Amino acid sequence: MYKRVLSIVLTIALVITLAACTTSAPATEESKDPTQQPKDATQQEPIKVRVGLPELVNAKFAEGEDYTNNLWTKLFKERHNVEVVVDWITTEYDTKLNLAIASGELPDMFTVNIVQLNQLMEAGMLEDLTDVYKQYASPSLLDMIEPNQDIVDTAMKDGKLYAIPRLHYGDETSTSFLWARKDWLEANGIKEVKTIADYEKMMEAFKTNNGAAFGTMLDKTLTQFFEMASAFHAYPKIWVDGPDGTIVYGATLPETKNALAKWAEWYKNGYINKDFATMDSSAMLRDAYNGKVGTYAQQNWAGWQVGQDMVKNAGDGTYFVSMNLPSVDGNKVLYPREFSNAVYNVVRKGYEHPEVLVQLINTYIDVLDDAIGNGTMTLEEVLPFNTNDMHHITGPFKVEFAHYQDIKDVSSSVITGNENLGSGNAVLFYNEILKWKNEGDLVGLGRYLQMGHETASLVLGNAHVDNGQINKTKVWGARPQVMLDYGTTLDDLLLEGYTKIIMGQEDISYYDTLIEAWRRAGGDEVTAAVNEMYGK
Amino acid sequence: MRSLLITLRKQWPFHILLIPAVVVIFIFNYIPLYGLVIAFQRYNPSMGFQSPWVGLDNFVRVFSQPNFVQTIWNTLFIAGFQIIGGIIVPVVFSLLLNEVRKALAKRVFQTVIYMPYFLSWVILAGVMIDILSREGIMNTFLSSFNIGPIPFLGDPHTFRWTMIVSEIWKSFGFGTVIFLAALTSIDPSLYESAVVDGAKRWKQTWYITIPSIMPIIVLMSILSLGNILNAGFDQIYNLYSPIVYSTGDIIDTYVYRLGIQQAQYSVGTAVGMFKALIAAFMISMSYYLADKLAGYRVL
Repeated sequence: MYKRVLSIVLTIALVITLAACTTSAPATEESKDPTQQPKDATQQEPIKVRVGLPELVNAKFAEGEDYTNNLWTKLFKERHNVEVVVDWITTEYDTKLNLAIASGELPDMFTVNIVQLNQLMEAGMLEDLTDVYKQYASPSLLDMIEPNQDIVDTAMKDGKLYAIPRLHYGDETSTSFLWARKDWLEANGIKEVKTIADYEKMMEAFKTNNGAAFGTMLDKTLTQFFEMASAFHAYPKIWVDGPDGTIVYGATLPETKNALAKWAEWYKNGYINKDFATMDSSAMLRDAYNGKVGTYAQQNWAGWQVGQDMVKNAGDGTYFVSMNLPSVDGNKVLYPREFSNAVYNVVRKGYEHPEVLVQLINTYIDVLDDAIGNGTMTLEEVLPFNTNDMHHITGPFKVEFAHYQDIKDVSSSVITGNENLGSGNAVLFYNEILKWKNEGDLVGLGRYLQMGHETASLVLGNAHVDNGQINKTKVWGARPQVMLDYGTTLDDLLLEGYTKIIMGQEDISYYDTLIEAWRRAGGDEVTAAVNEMYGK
Repeated sequence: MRSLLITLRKQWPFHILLIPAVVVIFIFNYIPLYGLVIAFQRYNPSMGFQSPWVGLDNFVRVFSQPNFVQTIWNTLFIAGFQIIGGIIVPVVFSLLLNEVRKALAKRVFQTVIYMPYFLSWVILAGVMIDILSREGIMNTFLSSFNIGPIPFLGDPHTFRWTMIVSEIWKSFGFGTVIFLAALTSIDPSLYESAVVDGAKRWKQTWYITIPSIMPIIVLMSILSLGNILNAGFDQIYNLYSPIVYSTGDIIDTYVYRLGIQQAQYSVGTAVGMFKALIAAFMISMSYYLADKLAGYRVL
């Protein structure tokens, strides 16, 4: 018996030591970088900035490079003598950051969402950026930020600026589309779907003519349901004007119930994978790769998701193309626009060089937007900074902005053949698309599906903006404290209920019970606070 | 006092061996207890433990959540059946294994059923999702008997049974080891005399084997009472989805979603503390019962 216990103890000890070795090994390897040593000695001591980053699955680094050592970090070192040190990197960014906030061990620079921003401003844990922003912001940065004063306001407290908003993109990127397999559309001669009934015919055609097992994709987050809701004039995720003139949560309106009823019907008819409630998005996409399903509602970037990988799996012409969402009654579809500035770049209180944040953001904008136009860099030099997700790995050092004009320039250039490109970004996008069109290089397919043809997603998105098809949420910017307190608890409640209704475990009449439960659980409290804040 | 000194003089090397464990437990299990104060505060990360006091507000918030009571019930339900199954299955299996004559076969069986215990739920969950899906091996197998398809992970009623059965399956090999050890300590002369009296295998098992290991069975059952509120975070977190929240959400997953994912530190701590208090009570109870029923004493 003792021998057995001893052997178990030894095994456990061994496993623990092994685990410790494997986790600590890469860290020590990264810290010593022999090539940098002699250079540093001659120069001034570099400014170190510790960051926390979300892990990007699609990032492809050059040989021997990684998040701490890549073309961006080298550029930052060269231009500003700033050394980027990665404190941690994780696929569960928000969770990790919440832990870091709770323990008070924050990186020097990082990004936060609006809830975390409010929490940190409240707690006084962020460095005041008012002065460094005034002093260091480049004209290009100012050009992007200044038209968005409403977003900047959400990053301010008592007249001080605590964050550089990433700005996200413009309205044109907030709309949803119907994505469908190109070869199947062509085989059935379908050009567009005008109504939900047309959409049902399309799903049926895919099933009978193309051997699809299901009509539409759906995963456990119900994202695809939410993306299609506006086809039913339903707005389950945003705050809208209610029938009585006050602001109400879109989920409480009868249109949402109608949308759910239709999806429940689809589930019953076998248009949806019976296992969807346990599937995450990668499991869901596997059905697309296997040719089991050929359509879903998704945002403008879906072509990246079911483009390159799709073709690799299923062959030429299998990629998905975008179409306008159908409308349940033929009336104009309005697309929900959440307050989308989801990301803010911030500096930890007490960090000695807050100006570094503004400098690095300047550099980011300069490379991707101005360098080609100014002639400081050639297209070939800039391209690697913007492909293979490299423009996303820079973590807290970027600002994104409306691409409305770029999309117009690029799409008209590609379609008409008359090259007319305003910004460096437009040149980049255009060249990526040409790679696909001329050489069949899959690298450019995603971009092509966004802005390379007449019904490319963002081209349609631009049209939605032009036609006034954007429905902005009434909670634009600041949120009442009680809403932050509830977090996602209230939405979780609805998500669970919606799933049950779609799966037929509850009848559609359960919807009213669900909304009643939502009201009692805090929905009424939040609604009252919203109405007080945004005054009706 | 004198006797204590004598024991100490005899056993001092063991006490020294104990010191590292005591230090580790003190640092990692006792010092963090101080963090519980934030359950009574509105936690503000920059002020840390000096955050403003709010009394029992956080507890009131938690208990007024519509699904919290359900969460407690789920935890008790899942953990309860896991404990019951976690005793019965290993006992039956060790009795069966004990009857296997060939030493090699016995060892092979033991190793095979022990195997899943070493795999983490993160790995197993991926495998199980594939096996248990509508088109997975399990449902394909069942359909040849005209059963199903059963949504093992996608139906609130089936989900908790899936959790219970899979946890028992994963860990019964480990429990078997303990009962097999107990079986080896039974005096063989008891069996010899039983054989003389004409007892067959079944009678031997019924009148000798089971009564002999009864104290161990009782002890194991009682000691597992302390786990009544641990239904297994890893397992459920990796396998659940919104559709099964109503029956599958347990206290630990609830605390994780609320406290970490939504950054409601104080509320999360309040739930955790509530759980810890009940667990402390259950453990004290179980030690008391262990002393009364099985003669097992801690102090």
